[in-house]
Amino acid sequence: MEHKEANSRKIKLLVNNVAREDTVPVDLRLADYLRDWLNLKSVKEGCGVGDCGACTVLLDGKAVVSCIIMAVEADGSSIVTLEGLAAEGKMSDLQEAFLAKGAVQCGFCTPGMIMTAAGLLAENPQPTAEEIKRAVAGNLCRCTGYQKIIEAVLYTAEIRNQKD
Amino acid sequence: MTYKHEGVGEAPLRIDGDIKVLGKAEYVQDLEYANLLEAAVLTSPYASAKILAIDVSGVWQVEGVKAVVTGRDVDGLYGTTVQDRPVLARDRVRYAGEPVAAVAAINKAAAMLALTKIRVEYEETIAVFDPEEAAGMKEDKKTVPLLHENLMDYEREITAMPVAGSNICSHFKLRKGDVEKAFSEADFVLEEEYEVPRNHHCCIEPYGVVAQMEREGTLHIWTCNQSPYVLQRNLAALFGLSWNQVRVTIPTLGGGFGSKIYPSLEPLVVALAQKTDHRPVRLLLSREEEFLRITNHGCKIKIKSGVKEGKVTARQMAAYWDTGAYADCGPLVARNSGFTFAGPYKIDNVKLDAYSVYTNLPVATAFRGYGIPHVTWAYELHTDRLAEKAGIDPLQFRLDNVIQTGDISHTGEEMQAVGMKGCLEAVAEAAGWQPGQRPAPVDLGNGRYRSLGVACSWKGSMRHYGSSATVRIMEEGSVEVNVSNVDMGQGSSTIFAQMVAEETGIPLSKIRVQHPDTFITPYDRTTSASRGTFHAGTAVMEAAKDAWRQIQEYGAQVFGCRPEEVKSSEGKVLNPKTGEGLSIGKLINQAVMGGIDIIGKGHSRMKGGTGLDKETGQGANPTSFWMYAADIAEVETDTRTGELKVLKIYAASDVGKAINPVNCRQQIEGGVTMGLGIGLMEEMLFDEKGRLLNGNFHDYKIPTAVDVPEIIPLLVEVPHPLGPYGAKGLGEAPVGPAAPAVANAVYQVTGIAVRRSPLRPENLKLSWQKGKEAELRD
Ligand code: FES
Ligand code: FES
Repeated sequence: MEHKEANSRKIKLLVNNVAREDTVPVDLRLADYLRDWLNLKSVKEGCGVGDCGACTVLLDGKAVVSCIIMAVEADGSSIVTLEGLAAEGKMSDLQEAFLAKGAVQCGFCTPGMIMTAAGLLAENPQPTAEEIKRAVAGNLCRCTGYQKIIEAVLYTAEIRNQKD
Repeated sequence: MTYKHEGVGEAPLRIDGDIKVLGKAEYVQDLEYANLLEAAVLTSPYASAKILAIDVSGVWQVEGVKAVVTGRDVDGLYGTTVQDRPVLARDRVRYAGEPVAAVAAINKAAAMLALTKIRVEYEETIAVFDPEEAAGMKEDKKTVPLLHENLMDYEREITAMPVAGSNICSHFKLRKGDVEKAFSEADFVLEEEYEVPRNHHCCIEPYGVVAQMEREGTLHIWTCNQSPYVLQRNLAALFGLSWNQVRVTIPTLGGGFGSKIYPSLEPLVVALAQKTDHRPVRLLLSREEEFLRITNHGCKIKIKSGVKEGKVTARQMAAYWDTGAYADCGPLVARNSGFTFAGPYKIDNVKLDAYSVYTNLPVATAFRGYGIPHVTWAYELHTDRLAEKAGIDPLQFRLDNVIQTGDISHTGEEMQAVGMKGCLEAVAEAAGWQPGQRPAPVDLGNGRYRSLGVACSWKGSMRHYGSSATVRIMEEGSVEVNVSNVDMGQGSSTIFAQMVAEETGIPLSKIRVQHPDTFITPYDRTTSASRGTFHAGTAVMEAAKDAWRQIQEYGAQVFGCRPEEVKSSEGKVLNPKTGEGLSIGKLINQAVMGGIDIIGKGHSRMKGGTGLDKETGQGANPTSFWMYAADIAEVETDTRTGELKVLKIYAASDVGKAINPVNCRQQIEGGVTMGLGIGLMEEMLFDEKGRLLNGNFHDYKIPTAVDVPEIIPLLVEVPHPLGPYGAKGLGEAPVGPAAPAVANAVYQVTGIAVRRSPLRPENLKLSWQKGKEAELRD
């Protein structure tokens, strides 16, 4: 997509493993780039100022809040959104665990929560409940009370470790 | 595919769970439109002011602006119980944050820029923020400015009982027996005051609306609202349309908790849309704006009880509900928490006054529990003081006093299917607290102690309102359930699908529950008061039964048997003679050569509901059902710093019948967490000018994963004779007792009563200091 304004810059990045090249305004937030330009609507906006975690995506494997990062800052990086976790539309084990453990209610926090958990598990494949709590402490959920979310992440880790 | 029965009492996965974990659920912010305009709203910086002049001409300097509205452009007033609210402020503003003008433009940036071009001239006037003072009930401040001089002229519902010449938009009274006499005969009388400040729902999805005046003359609105039909009727009245011209579509909701129950900013967006050439106009609120859109009530409560021989014999209470600048449902909150106000106890002498009072603060509305968390905070902390004075273990004291089946309630209702005692017994057993033998606090050294506290609560739903549903079974065997109950995360669509599976034997995977849409799904009053399973559920169950009866009739015709002999098995219709199963499609084909849908209809119609007498609050059947909940909290208190660590909450709820036990536990875990949030952490802070200071998630903290204790949900099932499969509601009751149970555990260790929530370490220390001063002075 082209955007003809003086204050635009070309960025190159991988989004869900697809190479992208776009010229974007310098004040375009990464969240808006993902939602509006690439139609990746799993990225939710709950606060827009980095407080709630609903817009969490992986940037080079690390969970970040995409509402306070500019698209231009993601130049050269690899971004994964919730859409990218489900290869060919098939749910990942982590998504399955969220579903099976009842960790989803209204679902609004869910994409961000799963992305944070995905980032944690990539870094620390056998987290304790305490470590999971600390990792998702930046992701607000008003529905669940978090208990079933923690269970889902623990369960995913357990299944993965059994497989290894 | 192998058949799986997933009916009532089982715990299938949420039917909308897969789209949610895949990130495909569509919330208002995700909907796409051609020619969309974005709205922005200019709000008042003053809590109370006259509007002397508004000049909007400047907005047209901004490229891309398509419409602007002020209060002068829109006639009419709206409101749930009292029609007191203009779509945009007209001659005066009544709270800081009230909409004064709005703009629609081709993008948000243009709309925001245009707001800066609007000139408003205000003249500040005196504001009032304290509900007791606003009610004119403070001895030293009898004269107060009136927010609504024409209060008595407004259209209103019968549940609103305003007091002329005051800021009281409703005064609910309940009178039973003779409290004065009972106080004089009591062993002791205790009088206290409690306070719960304003807090906020904090749905993680901020509010969003899209409105479009369609070319064909209909108004279409997509909004995150819990009550599509209330909205339809309000919009129709405001904009001169008939009901069947207003289409309210509800996409997936990201939480509700009462904040999305009644019309709030929808009329404003419609007013903008009317000024465009049939373009959709979208308003997405920022978090800061969402904090000001609507809030929970703050409340001050005075409570006085008389106890004789270990029994509460009299209770007198007064509550001042801060409903903000406009009534919204304030009168109903005062009333519905009013008739439950004295707590789940059998008390023969009761005198209650609940005032819903206008103040110059943002509009307060329903909040999960409809006032119950506030009143539970007051009467459950108070109950522990009573037990202490009576020298009785607080658990035993409750067991001795709680209301039971067959008792007569404070309004004169003969209670049925009461699970209050069962909830207390369930938590007591789980926590290892023998009635009469409260475990002593455990000394952990360094001034830290571990202790247990208990609290319980009840909640009436609301008077009966109808719900309708249809179940459409298509020839291929797939099913569409049409019902206007909104699934905002509580999981009602899964419950409805389970009911249909139960009645028809059709597997859950073939059942789809529609999103509510007033052009498609039939009438349902509101998704509120924990009424979904009970009322909409009854309608769905009846509709499914009706559909199944039709299938049985076709079966009788085709198999040559009686209709009741036709059974379902593994999703097929069984021929009783041969034992062979026939698919629904084949059956319809054989019976009527196909080409039809089977449409079952259902309504929840309940008889015998009563109102409450205006003077005495008496009424034999004010609510369609009651809910009960009890918690025991295990808490570690550091007596040097006031720091608290809630370790465990045992939480029991009487659900009547768990249609889906996992879903029930989710409601309890979430409800307890919310209760702990508002009781221990959360408070909206306003400056002396009524301006919100902490309208964002870094200054207003809700519980995160590290704040939540282990929650042990316990389901008690005392079936309700009128509930579907015996079910009661559940959503709200678990919110009430959690924080009071914690406060009572802390009191056991500190002996210092905290009156005001939230119970934060600094508040505890403050009370502590005060207590010490009092001790010194005595
Ligand atoms: S929307 Fe990005 S953190 Fe809340
Ligand atoms: S599931 Fe609703 S906010 Fe987490």
